[in-house]
Amino acid sequence: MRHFSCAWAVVELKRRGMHRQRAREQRGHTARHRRCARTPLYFWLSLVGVLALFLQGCNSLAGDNGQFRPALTSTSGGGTPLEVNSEERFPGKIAFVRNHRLYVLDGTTGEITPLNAGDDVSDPAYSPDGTHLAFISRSASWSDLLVMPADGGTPTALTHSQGSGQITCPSGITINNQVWVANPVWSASGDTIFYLSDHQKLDTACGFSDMGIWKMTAAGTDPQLLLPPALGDENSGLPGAGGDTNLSLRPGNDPSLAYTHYAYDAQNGTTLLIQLFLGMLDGEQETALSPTTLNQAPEQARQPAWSPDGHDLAYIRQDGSSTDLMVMRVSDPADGAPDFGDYATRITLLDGQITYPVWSPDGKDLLFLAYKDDAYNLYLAHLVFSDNTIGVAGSPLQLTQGGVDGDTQPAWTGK
Amino acid sequence: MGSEPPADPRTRPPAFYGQAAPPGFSTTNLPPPQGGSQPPAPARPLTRQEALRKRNRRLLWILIPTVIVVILTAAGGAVAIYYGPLIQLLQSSTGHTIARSTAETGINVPTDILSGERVNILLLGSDNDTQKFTDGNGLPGNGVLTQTVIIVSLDPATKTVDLLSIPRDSWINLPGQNSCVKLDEAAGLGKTSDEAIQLERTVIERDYGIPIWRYAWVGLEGFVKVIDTLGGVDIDVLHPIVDDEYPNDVGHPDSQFGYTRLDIPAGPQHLDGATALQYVRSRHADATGDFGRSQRQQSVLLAMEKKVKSTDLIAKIPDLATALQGNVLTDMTVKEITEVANFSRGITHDQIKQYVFSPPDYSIGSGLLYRGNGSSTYAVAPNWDAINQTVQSVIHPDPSINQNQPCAISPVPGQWSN
Repeated sequence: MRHFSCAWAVVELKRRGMHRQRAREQRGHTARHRRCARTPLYFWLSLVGVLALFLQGCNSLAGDNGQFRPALTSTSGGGTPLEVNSEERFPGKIAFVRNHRLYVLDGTTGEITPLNAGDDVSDPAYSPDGTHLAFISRSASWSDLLVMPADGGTPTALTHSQGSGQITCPSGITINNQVWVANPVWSASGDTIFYLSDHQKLDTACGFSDMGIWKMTAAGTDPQLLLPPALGDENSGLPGAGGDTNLSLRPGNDPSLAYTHYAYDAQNGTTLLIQLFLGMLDGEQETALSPTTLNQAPEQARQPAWSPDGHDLAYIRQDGSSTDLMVMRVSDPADGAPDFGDYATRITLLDGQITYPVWSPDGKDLLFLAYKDDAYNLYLAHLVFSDNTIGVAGSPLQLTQGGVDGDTQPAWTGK
Repeated sequence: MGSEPPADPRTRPPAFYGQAAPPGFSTTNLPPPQGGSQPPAPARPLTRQEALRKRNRRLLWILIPTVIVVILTAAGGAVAIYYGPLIQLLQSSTGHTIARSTAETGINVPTDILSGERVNILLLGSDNDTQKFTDGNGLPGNGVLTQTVIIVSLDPATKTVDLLSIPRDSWINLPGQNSCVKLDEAAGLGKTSDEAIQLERTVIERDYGIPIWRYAWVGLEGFVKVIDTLGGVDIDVLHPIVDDEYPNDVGHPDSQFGYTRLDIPAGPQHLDGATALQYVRSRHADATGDFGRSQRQQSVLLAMEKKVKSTDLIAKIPDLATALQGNVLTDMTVKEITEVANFSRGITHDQIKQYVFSPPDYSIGSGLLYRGNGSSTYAVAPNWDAINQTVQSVIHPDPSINQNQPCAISPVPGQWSN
């Protein structure tokens, strides 16, 4: 509408200008001077001002396709207002983070609602029934996992990571026993929450505080280390590269967690390995599940996302500075141990950097963040499945304009 | 569109420009204009209206120049306010030439650095900025450690850039002394900022065989402010940074030796100045120590370069100049900075190559080494064969430069790995 208004204003001004020109030609110079003489200076100044305002407004939208409408004004830093695609609708709701604050985009209305989750939040995750939202609240040197009603409300802290004492590391320095938690993922039943934490460092007296995979009840009780970070063996590599992240739960009879495993090569100690790993929920760690072609440096694979039926695994492949969205067909989850690695389909999307794929609840679309024109925004790709290939119908649709946080994964619920 | 109507022969220039002709007057019964071949009209007393108009005209002639002077003065003031910080910065921070030491004899530095030959600029970044510094320039010295040593090598002929990072723990000769220290310690042993920079420059020239024509030093707080002024940088964080021992000294002068904790997630994201500094400075979280840190420093450098290209720098000049005040020093002149900036503008990322002189390729071992006084320290022993080979192929230095003999290493038994 704003775009239309600008165009209309320019056309109208042109039309009036042409009309005046014609009249001027008919009346001659005397009439022109007389009209000018009668017209106060402030009128012309006002006209110039209005014209400038209109042009300014038009310029701010230059380059877009007119599909976007203002939805949210930046809440900090005087940044660009967030706009949503007014033509795109989808089932359910998408939770995302912008300027470290939590928002929900309603797919049926296109409305964006801020949630009162507080400042500096990240990693939203909907419960299976869509009634609750888990997320991370960060402080300067620790973070906590909180749960709140999906439409907003009072958050409940499931962890208390601030610490109350100090530990002395082998290096001699004293640090607080604070810990980080991140990346909550709900179990299919909603009874358990898997998450990342460096809590195990308290048992190992410092060292590299890489993130391991933990679980606890949805009430925040009984925290347990499920999978430690890199162990220093040939399979898991050397610690000191940050550990594990990007948890994704595979549904089915034999549920498992896919995640990105960061470690240094055990052979030379310096080659950074970024691989997809699979962890069974009994705590057993499988080998890297990437196709063999992905294990060869400098190609790296990260940010796995299981499809709702557990048949397909979306992830990001990085080769140098370019990123690709890949989808790997995996054996039926009902067949027991997954059979990975025969092939993966590269989905050509955009030239920009792509990150954090998220499946739609019905498994027909992929949501992701893409970096374009100096900002991360939400995009939607509609998938087309055939026997052995997966493609995209048309071009991905841009859902937002103006930028969302690129360092945290959005969440999608169909409820 | 009809044809243009014929010109009305009665139409003439109006007598009352800027206002309508008074009632009763028409353009046809005006008196003829003054001058020309017509005799001048006889003088007559001015009417009250004419006298007023004449006075107004006189006032106008006074008013117009006054307004112009006021506008020019105001504009000049505005320009001074706008560019004042820049002028101040340029005066205080550029062209700060540091004399060549006797150990640098033989390093020929042309007056026109972009005359066609490869230009090597020593980029230094140090911690703690002005906190421990006493010589007034806010530069490293008196125990302040240099955290970043990058040689930015520009080749005008091939329009390429090479970035060579040297780990601060590298075991090198201390210039002018018959002893060996770590690279960052060399700067720390300088009594003044000039000495600190001179020592680092000499090490790069004599141990690494790379002639340095210019230097540029940036303090950590300046780094943060510059990135914030640019609106942050967009970067793909190589791996999660989880650090329990990150120094909490920037912005906390009373807590120079305190620690804080970091958790920076991996992947593409937007970093503000403080987080970008944490990303390039953290090393306890990284098993590869300085190697990983050098890689991160170079990636942030490239992200900054990209950001500068996409930013309206003119509008940000005052803020940038203010941010850099006291946090940057260079011997480059304004003209040279402009030339280098123009050169960089035409460079794409494909034309930039990165090297990190770290293990395993560029080191023969690391661990605890004995110093001359019997104490020990963690250090990295450079693989000089590999380093010299890369320097020769990339930099093509003057073969007449006399390189130092490699420092001897005395590993602490059981505390050294090859």
